[in-house]
Amino acid sequence: MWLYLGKRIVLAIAIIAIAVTLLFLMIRAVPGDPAAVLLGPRATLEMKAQLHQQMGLDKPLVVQIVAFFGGLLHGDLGFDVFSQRPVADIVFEQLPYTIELILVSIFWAVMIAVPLGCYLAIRRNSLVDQVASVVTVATIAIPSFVVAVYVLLIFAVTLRWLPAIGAGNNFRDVLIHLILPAFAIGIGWVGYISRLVRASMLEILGENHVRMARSFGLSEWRIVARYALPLAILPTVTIIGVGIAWLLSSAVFVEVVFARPGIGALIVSAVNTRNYPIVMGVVLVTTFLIVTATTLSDVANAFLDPRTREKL
Amino acid sequence: MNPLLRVKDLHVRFRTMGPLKALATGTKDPFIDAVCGVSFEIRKGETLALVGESGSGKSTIARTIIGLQRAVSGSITFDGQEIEDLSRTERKPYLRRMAMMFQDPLGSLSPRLTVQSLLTEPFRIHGLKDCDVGGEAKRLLRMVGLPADFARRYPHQLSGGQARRIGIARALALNPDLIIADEPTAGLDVSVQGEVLNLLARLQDELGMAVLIITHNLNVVRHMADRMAIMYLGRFVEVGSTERIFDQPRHPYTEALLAANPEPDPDAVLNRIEVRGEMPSLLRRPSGCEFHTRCRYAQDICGRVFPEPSSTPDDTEHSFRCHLPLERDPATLFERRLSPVDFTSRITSRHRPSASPRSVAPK
Amino acid sequence: MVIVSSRLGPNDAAEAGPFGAFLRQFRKNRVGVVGAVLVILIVASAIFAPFVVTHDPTRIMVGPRLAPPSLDFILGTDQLGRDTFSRAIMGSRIPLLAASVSLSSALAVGLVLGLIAGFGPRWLDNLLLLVFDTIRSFPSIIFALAMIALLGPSLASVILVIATTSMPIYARVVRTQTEAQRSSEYIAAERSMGAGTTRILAVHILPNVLGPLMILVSMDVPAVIAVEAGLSFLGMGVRPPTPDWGAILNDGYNYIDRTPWLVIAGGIPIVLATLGFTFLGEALRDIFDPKLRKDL
Ligand SMILES: Nc1ncnc2c1ncn2[C@@H]1O[C@H](COP(=O)(O)OP(=O)(O)O)[C@@H](O)[C@H]1O
Ligand code: SF4
Ligand SMILES: [Mg+2]
Repeated sequence: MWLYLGKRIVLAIAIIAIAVTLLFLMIRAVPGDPAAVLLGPRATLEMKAQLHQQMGLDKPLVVQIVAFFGGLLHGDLGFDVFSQRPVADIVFEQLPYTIELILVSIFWAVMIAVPLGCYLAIRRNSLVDQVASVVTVATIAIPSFVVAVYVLLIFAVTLRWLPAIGAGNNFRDVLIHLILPAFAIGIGWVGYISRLVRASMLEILGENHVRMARSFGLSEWRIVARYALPLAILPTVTIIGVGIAWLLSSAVFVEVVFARPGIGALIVSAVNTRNYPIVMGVVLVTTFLIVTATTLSDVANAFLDPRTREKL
Repeated sequence: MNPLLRVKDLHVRFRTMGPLKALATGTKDPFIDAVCGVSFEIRKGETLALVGESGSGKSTIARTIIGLQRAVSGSITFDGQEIEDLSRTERKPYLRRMAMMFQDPLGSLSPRLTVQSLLTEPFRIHGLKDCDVGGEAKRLLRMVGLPADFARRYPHQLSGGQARRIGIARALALNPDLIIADEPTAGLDVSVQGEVLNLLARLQDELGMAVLIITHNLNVVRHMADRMAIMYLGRFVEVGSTERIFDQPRHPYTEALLAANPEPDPDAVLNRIEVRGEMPSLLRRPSGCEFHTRCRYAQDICGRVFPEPSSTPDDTEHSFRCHLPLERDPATLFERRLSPVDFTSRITSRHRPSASPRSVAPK
Repeated sequence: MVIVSSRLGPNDAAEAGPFGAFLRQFRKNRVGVVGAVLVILIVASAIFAPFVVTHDPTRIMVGPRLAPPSLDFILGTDQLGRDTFSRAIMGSRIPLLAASVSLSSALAVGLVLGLIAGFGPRWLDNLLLLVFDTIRSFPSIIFALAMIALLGPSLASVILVIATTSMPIYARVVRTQTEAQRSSEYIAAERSMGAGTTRILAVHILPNVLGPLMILVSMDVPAVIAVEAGLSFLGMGVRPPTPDWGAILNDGYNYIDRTPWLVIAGGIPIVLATLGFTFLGEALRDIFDPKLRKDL
């Protein structure tokens, strides 16, 4: 187990290192002066010269990469010329909005999806189950930005029940502003998780000790709640870790549609203004988030299921 | 005359864990020696049988000869040429002259190819493009007694026995000098086993190739082999002519194997060799004679001194590794063979029965 | 892995052609049939778009601005007075083009790298796996935006990004399947006959890998359509005035408080296309390889 844990952490660090190197090389691969690329179109000559020296562009590539890593280890993601602030400050200012959105989305999705999955497992192959199996696939398939635009049209623009843009100020306001965005992100997860719960529930319900409990006359719901649910929920927990990339992608669109603050909105505006330091900062931070989340979920998986340990 | 195949002091080892894990668990020697100093020869047209429990290294020897596995040391010469250290391309001409049949009759046939393509793979691999593919397939099918319309079938439409016949036909496609058959009857019905063996024996008579046959089944050995070798933990413990060994085993392990497979009943429990106790792990080879943990004749010396091969003066081809080889006495042996329970029972008697007529080998 | 006729007895192979068996099974899957119909309609309208459109999709002011649906303009008009229906029909070409180009190049590269990883030496396998894992750990849309920032917004950038990010998944599947067969006895048998690596890969491994891979690719089509539309929605995809579903939705979003019609009309093709390809892909997977990627 400890060996697995060690290997998994080394792997995660290796992935982050390679990712950073790739990103660095990507910037360098863009034709033209990398300092100009990094600083964006509004950079002055002195700024370029200064950055040249800072980046050590006259030194060999390897030295540059090492210096880049050194900066990262100190939390230095670069400097934004537009706002005259460190990139790290800007990114970490926006990050909480995105995380809040993601957490609320996944929370409501789990709250709906787990009972739904249980219900469908109990009523397996009934009409409800068959209809649900189509509807859940549909909710997974429809892109979140389409859902976002449609709910915006219906509930904010047409019915005017909910606010269309922004993130809100006080607690109540924040929650109200979260309803539509969280719906757009979470609806696909409702489909996904309920299918997952249903499938693992059926697997568990087919096992011997559960059949035994049934033969003692326990009701189906009791059996589900007592025996099956704790086991069926585990794959869900670990899958969310893997799904963080998907969540972040949806968040980008939803933040744009609802004009919410967050790193999605940040990177879109940065791309539009060619503000490369911000773009790279967001990519680095989100990559780090994803690697951490997948590593955690792999490790959790390994603790729960010894078979996965062998695979690495 | 030069032997067709000569294997000399062959060593094959496998890694048991990655270097990292070995370091983490403090294992100094993360290898097992699956084959450990094996030497033998096969003459043209001769049949040698390898016998031994599962995991004793029989298949590994076969795979090393054919080049699927590298040896750590030792030499393999085919028709006078060293072939162990050849690269894949250098080995190719020799692979035309030897063919291996693998243990799983169905699993060794590529699932998406028709029988015709399977049978003519060897021609395509060796660039014999100008041959008549359909005709060759028909010839080979006829040779192994299958109807010509089998050429269009796929492996999943074959029974185990049919697949085995296809395997034999493919092995014989290029008329090789040597065939290696790894448990050719494993997994087949008893009646089909007989058919397959008869086919193999008939084809050997007709075509005159040498055969290295690997088996658990002593009836197969008696049926097919001129000579036999008994393997234990990657070593030969006894080698000699089949007749001689069946008649007069010198190694206690051989004796136990023969006893577990009584002669009069050809359909006796096959593929199983009953010797009391578990085979020791290759990771921890016993000291001295490696069989002493299971040998009912074991003495002090057995646990301490590793026995070198020795042979009887009148038959230098018959050699065995034992400090206390069994006495040559067909009468008592016959008696023993009548009471196999004695050798297979798990009730261990550490003492040699005084009735047992054995002499301590001169050392 | 025997994909189609694995349950046929020794003699009935000739009667039941594998395709007939497939059709019979497929017809039973009603959702799959709906998906197939949608896909056929979308692909056909993309191919025959010039004959289907009622107006020139790029001509401005063929009608009034932001008009609701009418007999002349079935789905209304946009802010420049262009016919939304014609733009939606013509707009199907870009997503389908993006999907086919990016997925086929991802498939080709993934296939080669997967075979190398699965059949090559262990260290190369580990190295490639590390690369695959690295690319997969980039947050897809955010990574796409970063690449577009560097390359500039265009269809080519979108295709490149999609190909890069979907390749590792295919490569991994190929690698796993190759690895599983590598130690199989028939590969050993081929080697023992003297077959070289190229021959083993091309004749024996490739056909077994291709089936599951094609299913995976077909299941990725809706995701690619969504990404392309999404990036165009953000203004990072095709350049105006090229008609494209994501771009139409974006126009609708910009005028959402003036008219609901543009948003409705812009989103429907995306919904129909993703649903159609998803239903079709799921049905194909259920028929051919139910175990494959059970969890989505
Ligand atoms: N590729 C391999 N990697 C590691 N160990 C192996 C490998 N092949 C065989 N072995 C080990 O070598 C020993 C001999 O195996 P094998 O030659 O297959 O025995 P047999 O054919 O007599 O049953 C066994 O302990 C087996 O576990
Ligand atoms: S040497 Fe001793 S232990 Fe080994 S086989 Fe002979 S009698 Fe048995
Ligand atoms: Mg074997």
